[in-house]
Amino acid sequence: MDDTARFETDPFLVLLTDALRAGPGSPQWHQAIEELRARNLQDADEYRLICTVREHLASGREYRSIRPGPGFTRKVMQAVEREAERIGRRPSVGTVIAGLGAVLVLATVVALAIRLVGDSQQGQVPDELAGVFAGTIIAPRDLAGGVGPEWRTIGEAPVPSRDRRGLLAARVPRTDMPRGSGLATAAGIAPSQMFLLEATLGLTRADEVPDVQLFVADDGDFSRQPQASSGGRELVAWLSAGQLKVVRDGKVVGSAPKMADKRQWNLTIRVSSRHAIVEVDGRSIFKGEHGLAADRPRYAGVRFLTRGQERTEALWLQSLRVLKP
Amino acid sequence: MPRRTEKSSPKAADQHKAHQVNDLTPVALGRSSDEDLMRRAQQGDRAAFSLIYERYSASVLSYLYRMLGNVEDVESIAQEVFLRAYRFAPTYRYPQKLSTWLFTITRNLAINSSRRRKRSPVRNVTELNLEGVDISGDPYQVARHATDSVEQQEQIARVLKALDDLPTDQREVIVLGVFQDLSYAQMEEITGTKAVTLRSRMFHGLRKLARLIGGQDDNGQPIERGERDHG
Repeated sequence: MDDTARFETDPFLVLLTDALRAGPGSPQWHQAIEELRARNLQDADEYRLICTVREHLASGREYRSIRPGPGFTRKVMQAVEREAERIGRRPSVGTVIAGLGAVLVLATVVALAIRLVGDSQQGQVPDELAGVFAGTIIAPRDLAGGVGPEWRTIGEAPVPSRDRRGLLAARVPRTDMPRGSGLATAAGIAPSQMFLLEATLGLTRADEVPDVQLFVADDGDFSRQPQASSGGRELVAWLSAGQLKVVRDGKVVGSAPKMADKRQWNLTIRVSSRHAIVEVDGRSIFKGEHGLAADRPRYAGVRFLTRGQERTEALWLQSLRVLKP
Repeated sequence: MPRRTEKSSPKAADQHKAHQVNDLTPVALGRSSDEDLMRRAQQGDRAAFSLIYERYSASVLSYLYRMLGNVEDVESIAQEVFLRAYRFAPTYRYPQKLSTWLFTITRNLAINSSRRRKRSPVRNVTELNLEGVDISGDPYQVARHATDSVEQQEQIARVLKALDDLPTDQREVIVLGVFQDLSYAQMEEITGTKAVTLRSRMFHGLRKLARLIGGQDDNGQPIERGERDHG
């Protein structure tokens, strides 16, 4: 049996250890001594010896007892005094909670303010950008007569529709990755030049047609395959299955409600040195910084994306032009 | 209109009781239990804390002295004990016995001090502010102060020396249970050791003490004279 367990199960050992703790003169002590006398215990001699030692300890309870001197008490009380002053200066739990609450409210207000300022800065586009672009044509709209020298094809060359409605997406073999075909301005537009890119799209159906991207980029190299994308930054108005969204640096920053039954889309991107406005039928769906490099020429254009299984005849680019004020 | 007396009015009795509870006179404070004093100290009553200090300072100092065996660390640790007791007073929860709470702090600080001392045994003591029967702690000096009887002095010295030779866990239960008069339940709470183990340590500690005093080793065999003298 485990030795320690005996002190839980053996009633005499429980009584004896109680007596040893309480000491001579205690009821437990008297009881233990009585039991020791009355019972013929195997280890009685050892128990008596232990009791004798305990008596020695009882008579020497004051052995090695020490008391605080006046110097010690003064030191303790001075330390307590300092601690009390420190605690007094320390804010209470309630104050701390209130302070944290105030900080939280302040942080929320600041965050909201930053967001509002950011939003307002985003929305703070020059007034003239929203004005009329009826001035000089940078790139003509007449696509039915062919692509003029102001435009160049990117990716697969788009093809004229048979009924001269405009340009269609190039026919490509079936592929998993959509392939790009489109037009971009042949020359770069100075970053300080304000301009408007306008495209008119016609559809006979909204689904099973290629996606169309109206874009402004700060890189003129559109050789990245298969989508004929540029190596630079782009602001894109992306029409896909009747849904128009605005994408900047790969992130959607604006969108219009889905209009699957809409048969004609008039899309514009107004661009200044820093800002842009994207509109559909004259209604703005994005207004803010375009994110293009401030020191690089801009290239505007349109891009069809197709996997070779869409109905390319069902969507055409009716007109495309670039205007400046 | 009949005159209402305190005896006949429950409201007056309540008021009297409330008065007793809130009585902050030194006499009333002096009659308060340790736990009541602590509850007052929790509310910032420094007079109540001073009384706690008065009641426990000698116990705390003596416990530390008996456990650590050196007087150098005792003073600084005991100061820290009372400082922590004041600082952490809000953590005390009634109805825990104050002695249990206070000795838990004391024991933890003593253990930390022992560990530190093992790593860095050198201490420079410039001043001691303690008073005792014999601060040196030497068993023979203590015995000399305790009695004039040479025979008794020898007996006392042997008991104290044997106590010093006990394993720490056995010495601790004897110091807490015998010298500090704490129950097994309190010791269980302070040390985190089961009461049955503490009973066993008490028994074996005292048995070992008996054998050491009787000149025997752990197995009850006589200790050679030279071996006994040199520990």
